[in-house]
Amino acid sequence: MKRYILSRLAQVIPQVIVVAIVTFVLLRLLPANPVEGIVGPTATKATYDQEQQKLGLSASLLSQLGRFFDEIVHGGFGNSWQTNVPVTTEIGQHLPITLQLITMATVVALIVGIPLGYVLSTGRGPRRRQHRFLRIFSLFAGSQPDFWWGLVFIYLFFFLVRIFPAPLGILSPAAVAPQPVTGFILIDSLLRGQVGTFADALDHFALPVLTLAFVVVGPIMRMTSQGMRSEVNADYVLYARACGLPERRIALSIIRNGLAPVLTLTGVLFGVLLGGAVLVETVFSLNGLGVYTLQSVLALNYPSIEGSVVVMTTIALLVYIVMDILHALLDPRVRSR
Amino acid sequence: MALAEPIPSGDEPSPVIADEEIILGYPSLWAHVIHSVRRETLPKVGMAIVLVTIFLAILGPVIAPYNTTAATNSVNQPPSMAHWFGTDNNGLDVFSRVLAAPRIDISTALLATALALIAGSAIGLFATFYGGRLGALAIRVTDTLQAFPALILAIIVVVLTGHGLATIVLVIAVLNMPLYARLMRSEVLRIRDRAFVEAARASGLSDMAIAWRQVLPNALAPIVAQMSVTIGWAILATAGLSFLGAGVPPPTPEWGSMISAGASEIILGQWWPSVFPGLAMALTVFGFAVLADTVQTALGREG
Repeated sequence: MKRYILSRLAQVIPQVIVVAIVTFVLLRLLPANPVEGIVGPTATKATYDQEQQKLGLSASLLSQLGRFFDEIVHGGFGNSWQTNVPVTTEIGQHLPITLQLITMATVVALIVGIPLGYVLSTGRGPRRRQHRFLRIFSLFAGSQPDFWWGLVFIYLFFFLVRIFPAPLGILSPAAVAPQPVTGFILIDSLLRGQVGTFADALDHFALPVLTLAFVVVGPIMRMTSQGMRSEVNADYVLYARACGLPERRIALSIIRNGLAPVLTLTGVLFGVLLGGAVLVETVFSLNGLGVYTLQSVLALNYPSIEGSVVVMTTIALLVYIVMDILHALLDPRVRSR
Repeated sequence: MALAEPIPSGDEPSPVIADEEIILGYPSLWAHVIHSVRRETLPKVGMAIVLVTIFLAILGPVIAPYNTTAATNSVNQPPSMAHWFGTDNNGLDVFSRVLAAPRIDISTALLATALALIAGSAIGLFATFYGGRLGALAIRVTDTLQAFPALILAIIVVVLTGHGLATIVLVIAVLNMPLYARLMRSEVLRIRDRAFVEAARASGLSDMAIAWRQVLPNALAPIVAQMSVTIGWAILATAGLSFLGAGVPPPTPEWGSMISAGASEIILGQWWPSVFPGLAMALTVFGFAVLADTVQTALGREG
């Protein structure tokens, strides 16, 4: 098992390196001019050259790449061209919002999706109508524009019926932000004993979390149902039944094996949400990593873009590994491979 | 989430099918699909939605009752008899723009999907038939593409090349290419050692001819299902990019930028400029999802 984990971790490094190189080279090959954006169109040739020199864009592509990796080895991506603050510091400020958002959304989607998926897998025959409805819902909820649903939810639950707060950030103007410990506002506010702030942040997170959960619940339902149905007809179930094992024991192993593919899917969905959260973050004015990356792209702020892409890819790949390890723990067939 | 990448379906176990069916290219499968569309409500609805959107992509701008890009003075009018879906903050008729938008959204999605299919299948076929190191490398490269945050990569490329529609098509195609490469690869591996392929080879057919005449027809069903998924994803991606201001710039009628234009006013209760284009898009994507599911069900890979 230890060997398996180590070998999987070793695979991440080349993948991240490739993603970093591709991003870096792509930014420099595409026809955009960040220097002009910074010095303005009326700048003299001298100012332009000076700025280009300062940003390190006048060197050859290969030596730029060398400097880039030198910085990565020393644990950073350089300074943001907009603020001159280290990119890692800025990512550290924006990443927790995104991670809290998508982790909660994934958990909510699993809590709702797995039982519904189970019903979907069993609800044939007498419960036909229920089954039909769930099937249509799982198809529908698997392919929806989350940013639009976010707006619809805002209209329904903020404008029409005021259940949730205004979609403007994660705290009300009156709330006091906790002194950072971990950077995760939900954890920090509890550590500092600010229950009011915790409740306020949770209140602000509720609607964006529901929006994201709503659009990922479909695939989870379908995968659960698929997994359950393929296990119900497996030979070992027949064997267990023939041996006279109690139905509850059999059901337990069906659920255990049937949920294994859901884990893999959860990892994939988490990665997708990480890169896709920018839409919902924009709708709810959450200043997460997605919005930070979008702003960096619009401002042609290369170090910030590179940092964000590398961080997102690394997190997604690590989550895949965690899910695969959990999968291996659940399913001995995977472990022995 | 909406921009959920199509879940790779290439590695799923394929149903066992008798050899004679394979030679004819799943005859019972297409019969099953047509039967579903004719007899069952959901596939019928899905098919209707898809046909209507394709019709609108061709004729939408022509049948739109108002000019879709020239601003007027009747700003932010709620839905009425004159303006069924109301007007937006530029005084444009929302109904007309909703009808005209598929011209951009659907044609982008169809074109990108076609490109992804052609390039991806070519890579998959090549990599599997000619095996070896180059083939393995081709598969590895396409796999690495999947490690990227897809939407972010699309934003980067579209913004840095100046918001062109052609770039959007290309990026979406490249991002979906790996799925078709994997799909083709698994289909080739599935039938490569079948008797009829051996027979074809023995009778002197070249690899290209085998790929074209034996592999492609057999892979058609999973490809059609995957295409339907990709089209839905492509519509969401195009709209998502435009919503973020990194796609089709206004005033071109496009669902994503229309939703974006109305987004700031929805807290004030003006729901119509955003809700109607989004509803049209949500229905369209649902239609393609149903179509994909109908083919998947016929394939015995029901979810």
